[in-house]
Amino acid sequence: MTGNNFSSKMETMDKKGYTPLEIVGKREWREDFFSLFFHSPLLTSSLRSGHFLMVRDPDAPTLLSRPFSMGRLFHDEGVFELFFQVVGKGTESMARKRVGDTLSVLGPLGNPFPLEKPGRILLIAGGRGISPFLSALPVLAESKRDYSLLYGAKTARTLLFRPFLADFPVSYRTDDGSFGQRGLVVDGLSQEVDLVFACGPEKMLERVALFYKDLPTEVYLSLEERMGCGTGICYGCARKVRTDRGVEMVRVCEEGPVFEASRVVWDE
Amino acid sequence: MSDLSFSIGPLRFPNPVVLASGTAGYGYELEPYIDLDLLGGFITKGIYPAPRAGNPSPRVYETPSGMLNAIGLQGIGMVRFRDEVLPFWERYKPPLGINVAGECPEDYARVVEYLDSHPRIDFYEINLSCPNVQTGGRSPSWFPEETKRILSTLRPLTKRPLIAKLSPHARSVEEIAFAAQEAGADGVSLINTFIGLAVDLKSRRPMLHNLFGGVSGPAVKPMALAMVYKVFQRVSLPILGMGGIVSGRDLLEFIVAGASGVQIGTATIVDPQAPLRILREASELLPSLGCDSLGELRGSLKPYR
Repeated sequence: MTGNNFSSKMETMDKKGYTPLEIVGKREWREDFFSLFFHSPLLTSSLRSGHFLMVRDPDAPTLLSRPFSMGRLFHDEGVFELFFQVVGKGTESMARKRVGDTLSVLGPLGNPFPLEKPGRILLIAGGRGISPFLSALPVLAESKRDYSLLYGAKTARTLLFRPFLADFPVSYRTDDGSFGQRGLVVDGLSQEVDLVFACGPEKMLERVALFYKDLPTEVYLSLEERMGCGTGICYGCARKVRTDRGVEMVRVCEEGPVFEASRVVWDE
Repeated sequence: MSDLSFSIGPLRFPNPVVLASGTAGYGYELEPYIDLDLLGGFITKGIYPAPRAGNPSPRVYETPSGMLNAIGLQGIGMVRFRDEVLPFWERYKPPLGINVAGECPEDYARVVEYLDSHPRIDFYEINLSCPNVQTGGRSPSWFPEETKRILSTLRPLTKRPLIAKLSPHARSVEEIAFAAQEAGADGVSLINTFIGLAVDLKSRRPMLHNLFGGVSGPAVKPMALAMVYKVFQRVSLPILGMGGIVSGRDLLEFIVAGASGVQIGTATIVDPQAPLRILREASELLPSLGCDSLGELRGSLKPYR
């Protein structure tokens, strides 16, 4: 066989790859928060809360793709939202994109939150960690589950999506007391739940894990780590997790990003 | 139809696109994204005798036109590799190379001895150059004697091709390649990553937990091309060239500089389908250069005038 007896079609047959998606909407929030909206009925119907997407701007001077959790899913329109905060060059270039521009998107990637598990559910979101719960809330409401969201941010200005969240049972906390109760989300944790799903800053996740450590509540955390590939090949995003073999360095992109809290090993 | 194949010793590679060690996992990770049968070859993550945890995170950071990584050779070790990974490769045809790593010649020998009876293995790439382990990057392929010592230890242990993977930090990479040739290597891979550092100005800490990492990607391509060319002038061994190849043009430039085949690394991390795109681009471009085969292009770099 010579190497070139194939068509470009064969390269992608039955295989998943980066797809150019057009930006059909853009919203600029406060404090460097942005939402981009993409039309893709396929992705919109297959994304689940906790999944992530790798996103790349082919025109940007940056090389690597960046991982993002998706925000709201608009099933009737086949549109999904990408909600992010500008934190570096990759997100900077994404924030400059306009409606009509395209970005390369790969997904769904990773393992979602097991929302289908039975029991009373508490969702915990810190800051931009609200993102995965924007798609979880309508699912839980639709299936008439016993659930609520505890959502905290530094201040009222960064407590985003409040009009959308008005339809769901949410309790708010801000560090400065400018909206909802004053204090951290970890001060508002309830023992009266069977399942906890949390996404937010590392310190918050660690305190959530600690709070439920000796309780029967099952806790799942969406973890972050700086990523290279997002596809499991580079081992760039590994962190310490307990497995059947003991404590191992495990890839956040492939075995995560959602992990059972009892398996996560926190750095001293 | 042009001929894109090349050979290293008796081993024939169907096309020049070989996936580089450490940038493609063990292979099965890529199965959802590409038909592995279309590759010219595949080289596994570095295999040590025992499992290794690798470095703490963060392990990667983007740098101008490239990336910095310090994975630290995390790996499942040779026993699990044989039991869990090699059976997977029996379903696919491309030449399979085992990247053999170690901290002393005995480590390398143990891996080759343990795996060599397995029929699916086609060749070994001897990692004489991983810059990410704690030594601050010091690696055997900085020194001709150490290069020779490891390769001479391995040569009697296997009939399969041994390819020495070289560091760009040797005083003279061509001198190291010559030493590898003398010690019985069948080919050389170059270059491994450059030692690099990225600084977070705000915290005044390194961007990587390991402090140093290896720089790869388009940023290193001109240096890689220069080294491939110098080694091609000095030794008769086939060369697997690598360093920042992201397009068919890049691939063919390495062939002109003297490479027999190439390895794709960072481009696969950016996009798992990039290797097959690069192959298609190169195969489409080759006839326009007036060549029917890669062999006609190999080492064809001419003087400026």
